[in-house]
This record gives sequence, C-alpha cells and structure tokens, in this order.
Amino acid sequence: MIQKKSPEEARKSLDLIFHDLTRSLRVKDELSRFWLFILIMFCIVGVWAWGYQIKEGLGITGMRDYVSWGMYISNFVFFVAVSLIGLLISSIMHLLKIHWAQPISRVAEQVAIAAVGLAGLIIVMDMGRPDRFLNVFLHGRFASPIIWDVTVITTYLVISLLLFYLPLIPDLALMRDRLKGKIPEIQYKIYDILSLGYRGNAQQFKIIYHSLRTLMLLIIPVGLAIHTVTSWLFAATLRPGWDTTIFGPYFVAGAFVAGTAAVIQVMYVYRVRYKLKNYFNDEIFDRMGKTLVFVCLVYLYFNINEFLVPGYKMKTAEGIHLTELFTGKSAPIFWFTQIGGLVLPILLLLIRYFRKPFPLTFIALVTLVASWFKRYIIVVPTLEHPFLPVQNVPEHFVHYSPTNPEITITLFAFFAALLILTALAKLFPVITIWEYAEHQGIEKKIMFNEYEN
Amino acid sequence: MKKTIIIGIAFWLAGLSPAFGADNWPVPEEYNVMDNPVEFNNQNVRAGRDIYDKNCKSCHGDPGNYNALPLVPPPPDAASEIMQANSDGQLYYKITIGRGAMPQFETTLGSDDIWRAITYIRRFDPRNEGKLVEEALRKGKIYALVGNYNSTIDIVAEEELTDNNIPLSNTTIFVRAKKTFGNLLVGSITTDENGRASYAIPQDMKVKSDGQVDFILSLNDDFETVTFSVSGVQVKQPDSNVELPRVLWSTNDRTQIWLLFTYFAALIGGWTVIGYVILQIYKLFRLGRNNKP
Repeated sequence: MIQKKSPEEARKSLDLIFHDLTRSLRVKDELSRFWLFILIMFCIVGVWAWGYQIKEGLGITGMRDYVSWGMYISNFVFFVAVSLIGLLISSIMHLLKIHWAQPISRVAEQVAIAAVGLAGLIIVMDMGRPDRFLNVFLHGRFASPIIWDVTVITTYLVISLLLFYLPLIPDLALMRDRLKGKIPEIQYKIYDILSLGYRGNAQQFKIIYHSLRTLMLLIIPVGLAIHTVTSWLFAATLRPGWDTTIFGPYFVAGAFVAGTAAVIQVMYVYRVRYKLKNYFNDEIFDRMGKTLVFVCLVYLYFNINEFLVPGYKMKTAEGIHLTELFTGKSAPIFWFTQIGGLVLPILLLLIRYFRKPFPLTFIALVTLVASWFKRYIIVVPTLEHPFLPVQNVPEHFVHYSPTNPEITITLFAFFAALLILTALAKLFPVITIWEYAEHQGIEKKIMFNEYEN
Repeated sequence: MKKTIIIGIAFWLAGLSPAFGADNWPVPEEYNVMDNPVEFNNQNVRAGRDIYDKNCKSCHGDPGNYNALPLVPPPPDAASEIMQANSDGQLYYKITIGRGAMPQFETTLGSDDIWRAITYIRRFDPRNEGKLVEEALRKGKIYALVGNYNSTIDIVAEEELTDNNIPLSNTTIFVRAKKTFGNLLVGSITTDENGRASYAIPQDMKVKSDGQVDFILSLNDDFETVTFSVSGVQVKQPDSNVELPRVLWSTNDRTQIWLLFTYFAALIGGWTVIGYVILQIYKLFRLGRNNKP
C-alpha cells in the first residue's frame, strides 16, 4: 500500500524525483555530442545509399528473381516485432495493474514509436519506385495482406504516438511550471504549447485517464493485428516453410521476445547514462528478466511446433528447406537463433545472478541480435527453395547475398531508430514523472497547485 | 528420393561452376559412330525447328544470332563451330544425357524428335550449304462460313496461281480458338478433292459466359501465312451462371463481400476511436485555454 506523505516531505521528494527524471534533458557533454554526431553521420550515409539505390534501381541490391525479399523485409519484420512491446508493457501490463512495469511504459512507447516508424520507412526503401507509393492507397487491392499491413501499421503508429503523448501532458505541465528560464526559450515554448494548459484539475485528469484507457483497449486488437498481418504476408504465400497455420501467434510470440530484449537495452542505457539507478532499479531488471524467460518459453513452444511437425513428415520441398536449415548452409544462423535467442536466455535467466542489470542486458543483447537473424532465416532460405526447380539461370540468381549499399540502408534503419530514441530522451523525461510521484505517495494537489499563480 | 534430389542439386550446382565446365565432354564410343536416321529434307528441318524452338532456344538462342543466355559454361550457338564440330552421334548423346546446366532430354523427348532437332542444327553446317532447295511458298486462300445451326464450320480453300485459282485438295487446315492469352489449337481437318471441308465444332468446348468463340483458320507452312477468322460463333447458349465465383484473394470487384466489409468495418471502427481520442485532446486544449490564470 502506498503511504501518503506529509506535504513537506512530499514537496522535497517531488523536487528530487523531478530533478532526477529531467536529467536526460540537461545532459550536454562531449559524449552526447559525439553520440549525436555518429548517429547523424550514419543516417546521412544511409540516405545517400538510398539515393544511389533510387538512381540505379534495385539491381544494386543482392535481390533477384528468386530471392526477391532479402535483408530489407527481414529488417522490416524485425522492426515490426520490436514495436509490439508497446502493446505488452504500456497496455496489457497497465490494464492488468502490474505496477512494477509502470516506470518502463514510456521506454516501451519510445521503442514502439521508433520501431514502427522505421518499419514503415523500410517498406518504402524496399520499393523500386518509391515515387509511386501513393498508388498503394489509390489503387490498393483490399483483398491483399499488403494493404492490410499498410493500414494497420499506420494505425498502430498513430495510436503509439497518442499513447506516448497523453501521459506526457501532465509531465509537460510540470516542466512548464518548473523550468522557466532554465532551458532555452524555444524549448520552453514547445512544452508550454504541448501541455495544453494542464493544471492538474479533476476534469482535465479525467479526460486524460479516460482517453488513455480507450487507447489501451484499442491498441490490443491493433497490436495483435499488426504482427499477425505481417505474418500473413508470408503465410498467405504458397512456399515451403511459410505454408503454415501457426504463423500469426508464432510471429506475435517472437515479437515479444525481440521487444522485451530491446527495452532492456534502452533501460540499461538510461540507467547508466542518466543516473537513474533508483528508478530503473534491480527489481525492474529482475522482473524484466523473468518476463524475457516467459516470452522465450512461449516462443520456444511455437518454434518446436513450427519445426518438429514438418520435420517429422519431411515432404519433398519442405524437406529440402528444413535440411538446409538444420544441417545445410543456413545451419549456423539457424542454430544461433534457436540456441542464442531462445535456449540460452531461458536457461541462464532462471539464475538470479544473470537477472542483474548488466548480465541481463548482455544476454538480452544476444537475444536481440538472434531475433534479427531469426527474421532473416524466416525470409531468405524459403525463397531460395521454391517448389519449381531452379533451372537455367545465372549463378547469382540462385543464392542471395546482400550487397554493400543494401547493408548500409539496413544499418540506416538502426541508426535512425536510435536517433529517434535519443531525440525523445533529450526532449522528454524517460519515466512518467507524475505517475511515478503519485506512486511514491505524492498527491496531485502538491504537484500542480503549488505553482499555480 | 530426398537424397536423390539433394545429390541432383549438388551435381547441378557443380555443373554451373566454371572449373567443372571444361570444354571436353567425353562421349562413349558407341554414340560416336551413330548416324542420323532422319532424312535431311525441308519437312524434317521444319519439324526439327519446332522442337528446337520449344526445347533449346530458351538457352541456346536463335541459330546464327549468337544470342544464347550468358550462362557458365556458355551454351554454344547452334550455328557455331563448337556445335557443328560434334558428330551426329555426339550431339545425340549430349542432348539425351545432358550435363550440368544442360538438361537431360531422355525423359522429355522421343529419339525421333531428338534426331529431328539434330537435323535442324545441321542445317547451319557450312557443309550443308545449298543442299536444301527452299521451295517457294505457295499462295493459298481460305473462306469459311458457319453452317448447320452453329455446329460446323464449312471451309473452302483454294490456291492462287498466276492466272487462275484452283481448289486446294488434300490440304490440312488448322482450326484455332481465340483465348485470352493467344490462340489455342482445337483441331485440324483435311480438304476433299474440291478443296472443301466441314469442321465439326466440338460441343464440349470451354466458352465464355456469352457462349461465343472466335475461330481462326490457317494453312500449313508450305503456304504464305494466311488466316481466316470466323468471329462470334455461338457455340453454346449464353449462360449468365458461368460467372466467376468471388474468391478471397481476387481484385476489389471480385473479392468476397464479407472481407471488404470486415476490412472497412475494422478501419472505420479503429479510426473512429482514434478520432474520438483526438477530440478529447482538443477538449483538453479548450479547457486549458479557459483555465488560463
């Protein structure tokens, strides 16, 4: 039970919390400048590579007639997967009143926005004629999963932005009240406008609370749809390895693994960089470690289904594909994704020591990398084994290997996502201040009324 | 079975690599001495050309044009010295057995057809220069009418000579039906001594919902290309029930209604809620303005 604090205590405590949680706005040292420089440089290089690709055509990539979905689509699926963590943490866990997860809901929303925004951009980058992008909307076929995907990703992005913005309004009001003169005038102006004149009165809070609830409910079907529809892009195609009925839940389960691992990375960086040891505390890491074990177990269950059942029958085309995965050319990546991305985190994170912040972050990083390769293993080997025999084509049509511009553009997505995360962290507190303060027994009255003129 | 396929793929890949594709391709002795049993004449060359166009051209290209696919090792042009240096028997062996990217035709072509294809290839051998006297193409003409309550096509064929036209007897007329992607050969008929023939339209033909078919008649290769079309033959009664069914994966006007309904219901439902939340934010904005101290 939350202990109500006396006004004196509460004020002191609020000052401390506010000071800690706005540190990310103030940090302006060599390292952060260097970090921004690196990110912007890589983004510029990526955009340049994209320009080169638009000029020369998709022929500069390694994609050919057989493997027509390569790194870009793998990357797209990965980013869609990561974005799904917004659904799990800031909606489902909130609705289930899982309190320990409250401080990380904004981190989850940041990750969701960065990931789903980039996912949309990656699709445009995979287009040979991005100037015709609007035709998707103008002449789309509503029976096509691609149209469903475009629709649902756009919807998810908008909901994620709203879910990020709504709980931010009281924080913006706090910053407006407390930071006048301490930050650049323009930044203050932005906070002032975005806070919508919030004064913490009951009517205003009710609107925010009510809207948040509505969105948390809406994001559940949309979030499940975003990854289920992405899986249908594959499952609705007649191909060995994709022709399966469990692809929807299989992708959703995999998405929670990737997203949880990604949020742990971001949490750790914030904890160290913005000195938030007491906020992203050991307990949250411990519980996130347990969450990762849980989602990994669910995903492992789907993986066993996905490979054991066709592996038992070894139908002709399916057999060639699976042999390639288990013992063939793709075996190293395949076993890395299964062991590094599933078995190891499950086994190691059962031990308390490995759920401490640093070991957990490291294990989650391996899981995250494995998650990326998992998408690659879903997309590419299947395309290398069509049902009809591959005959009379040049050697480079048969095997896929990404080219340098392709890798540069793929890396761009990562740097751009990190840039979005950095920008969000520099502009807004990484933990919802008012919610956290309320949880510490500080009443809303004290947070807002005091500064009312 | 699985192993065979994998080994097959491995061999095929090996065949693609340049190291394996050295120029010498040993041919067993018994093949070296084989002779082409097919006579070298216009008819066989023409038959061989059809076989070549269907089975070989996609990689080896048009003979003499050197437009083969750029594979490794490169498939030689049929008119090239490399190709012509082979004896008939060697060609027969290589086509039959295949190697690497060169498929094995043993299972797809009969030996007669393979020999005819070889006959066609030999047409480009410089030693055969002038051996075939190309007969001048004859000029023919076809007229046709639909007869007997749309059940037959009555055909009259004649040959145009310099001064007069004579009936074209004992000549094959090909009957094709116009389909969405090209003309489908549905049958052929030989003319009588008066140059007449009556083609019975098959009653089990697949037709569009209006029941009509466009027929195209033509003569064989001995003649200059000549066709005669009989359009809009009412083969069957119009049938409004022969509509294509609506299926899930089709275009917007052919897909199933419930899918469109679900899609738009979800779209409108979701965005209505988003619109509602944005309205709430606007309300918040209004409240904030009124509350201004």
